[in-house]
Amino acid sequence: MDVTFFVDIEAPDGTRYGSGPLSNVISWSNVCKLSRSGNFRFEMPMTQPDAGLIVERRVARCRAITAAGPIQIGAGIIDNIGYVPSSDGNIKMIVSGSDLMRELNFRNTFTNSADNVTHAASLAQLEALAPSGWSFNADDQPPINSIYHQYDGETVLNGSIKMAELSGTQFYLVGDRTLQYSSNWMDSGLRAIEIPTQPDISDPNVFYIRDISYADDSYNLISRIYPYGDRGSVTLADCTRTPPAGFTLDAANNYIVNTAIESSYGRVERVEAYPEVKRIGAAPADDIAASNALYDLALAELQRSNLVRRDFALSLIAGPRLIRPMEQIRCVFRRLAHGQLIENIDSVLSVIETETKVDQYGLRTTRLLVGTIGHPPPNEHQTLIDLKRQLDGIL
Amino acid sequence: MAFFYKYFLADGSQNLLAEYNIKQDTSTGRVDSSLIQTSNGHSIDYLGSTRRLPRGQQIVVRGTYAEEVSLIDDETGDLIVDEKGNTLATGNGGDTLRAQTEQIRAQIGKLGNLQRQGYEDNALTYKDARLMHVKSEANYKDGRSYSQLDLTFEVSQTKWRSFSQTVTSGTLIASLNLFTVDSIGTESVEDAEIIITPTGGALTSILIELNDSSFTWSGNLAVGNELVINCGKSQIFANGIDAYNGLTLNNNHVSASWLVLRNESNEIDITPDVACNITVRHFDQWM
Repeated sequence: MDVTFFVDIEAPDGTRYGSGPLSNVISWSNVCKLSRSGNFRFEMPMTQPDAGLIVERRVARCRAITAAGPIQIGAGIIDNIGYVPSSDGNIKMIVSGSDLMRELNFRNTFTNSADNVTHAASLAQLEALAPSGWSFNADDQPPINSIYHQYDGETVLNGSIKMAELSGTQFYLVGDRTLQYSSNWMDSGLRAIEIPTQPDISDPNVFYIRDISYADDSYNLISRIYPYGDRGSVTLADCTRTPPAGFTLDAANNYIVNTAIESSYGRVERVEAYPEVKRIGAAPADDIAASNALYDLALAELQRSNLVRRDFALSLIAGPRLIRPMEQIRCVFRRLAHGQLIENIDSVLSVIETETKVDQYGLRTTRLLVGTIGHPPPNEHQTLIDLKRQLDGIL
Repeated sequence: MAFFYKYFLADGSQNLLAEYNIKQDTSTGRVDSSLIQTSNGHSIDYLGSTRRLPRGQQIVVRGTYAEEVSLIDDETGDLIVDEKGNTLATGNGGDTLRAQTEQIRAQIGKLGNLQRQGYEDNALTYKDARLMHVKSEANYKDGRSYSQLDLTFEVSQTKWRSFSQTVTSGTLIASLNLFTVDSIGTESVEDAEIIITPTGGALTSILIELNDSSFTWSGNLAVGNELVINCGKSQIFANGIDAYNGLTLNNNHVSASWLVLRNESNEIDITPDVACNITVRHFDQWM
């Protein structure tokens, strides 16, 4: 889409600064992530008189005028302002930061606890700790509806991520300041297809694939998990949960096993530490609740790691609308070579991450990370997280 | 309408461009391709029926400055020539020629107005332009000096604008008004300036709609103060103070600019909550 876009600079309460939007912004891009904070970045010449409006911790908001009227492309909190002088005398400003979920990092959970409360109640507790204006919408039918968790000084954002893990849900940002938790992936009604010889770019339900790459990843495939909480003092010994089909709980030996994976690939075991799983009280009920919380986290980890995961990176054009995480899109991609069908993808895929860009080439989804598994892929910091767990002590 | 490049106005000085042997680039700018090549070997025109305008262009204005001299003739009016057949001339036109070329060369790198003039109506239109390069060749013939100049300008504006501004004024009641602004030329105008001055009390809301444009300003503007809406710069001031916070582009606003005047008689729907005076200023535009 060839669109006019503009960037406003605002106070946190939405008051816009200046006499108009920033002039001559060269490009804007923002990334939306599943159950994580996203980010944004824009570039403009520093020589513009309104460059002075760009100040740390102000809100940058990009909107575009489309055939459907003004739409928001993204918004975030300015945290990084880079200056790049070039040989022609111009100085380019590169402004970036996290999306508005960044505000949830400005508040802390301290030592609050969710002591066997429902998923909705745990989110109400977080909402009370979040800055004003934030809403936490609970999943109507969370897979796990009994939350037992002792916070340990996490930020509210990290607490939000933990609540998603403990309830078996994911969350995504709606509007500016609403976290919507859900365990149901929604059909976007959209299809991503290769461009035919006579494309109809007015079709409201079709994205055209410009580029595609995909990879199968079995690196994180495991069949058995041994979880420990609170420096090894919490185990599965007191767990009262019933495993879903295909999984077996051996409380005495402190592991959960995926029987199908173990029969197909052999035994691949992993010890996982969850130092955040602690007893809130000293009663026997606390032993059970802590053990169940440990089980919930470990099972979720095992379920994430029980398939050869295939992630797709798509670059799309002529998108009829913006797509967000927690939606699903049907992707059709076929490739013939030497008269043989060498690739035939026709799958409903889960949107894990989207990157939207608007610049001189218009508005488009430049990257769409979709997967056969509806969980974020392991991030690049996982090794550090594992190391910290080791240092915190497991056994 | 045929035209030729007439002046380059920069820093307040109006520099006459060469008028002899003119060979001028009167092309439009080039529109960027909207085709995207894809991984399966096809391409797609992702703009569909949407019009795309040129983003900018370079214009080369070529012409000759000539030394103004008086040729020497005899009592019968025949020109006197030297032994090689060259005419003989007198006068200090060389100084004038040098001054003209030096004046042009002094404009290198400056941002100004490149003005063109219609042959039929002598009307001037202009674009903002930067003089990027002066290519100069001097020669001497028939007793006079010539200077062949190729001036390369870079322009970012797509459309040529009338040199004089059209000002349309009127009054508004505290209700829906149909305010007519006539725009000639061949192209739409996206950089009109609207000035609202409340007369019937403090202005707290005004809705402006035309074709695909619809926006509302809300605030508090006392009687006699001005709300200035510069659609070209996307700026809005109330009594000289930033007032963008009060502007809302409504859901039915699908125009790239805040307000687009078509090259016709435009009936703008304007709904203020108090009586006002209104002035709309614009430049008619051509491709």
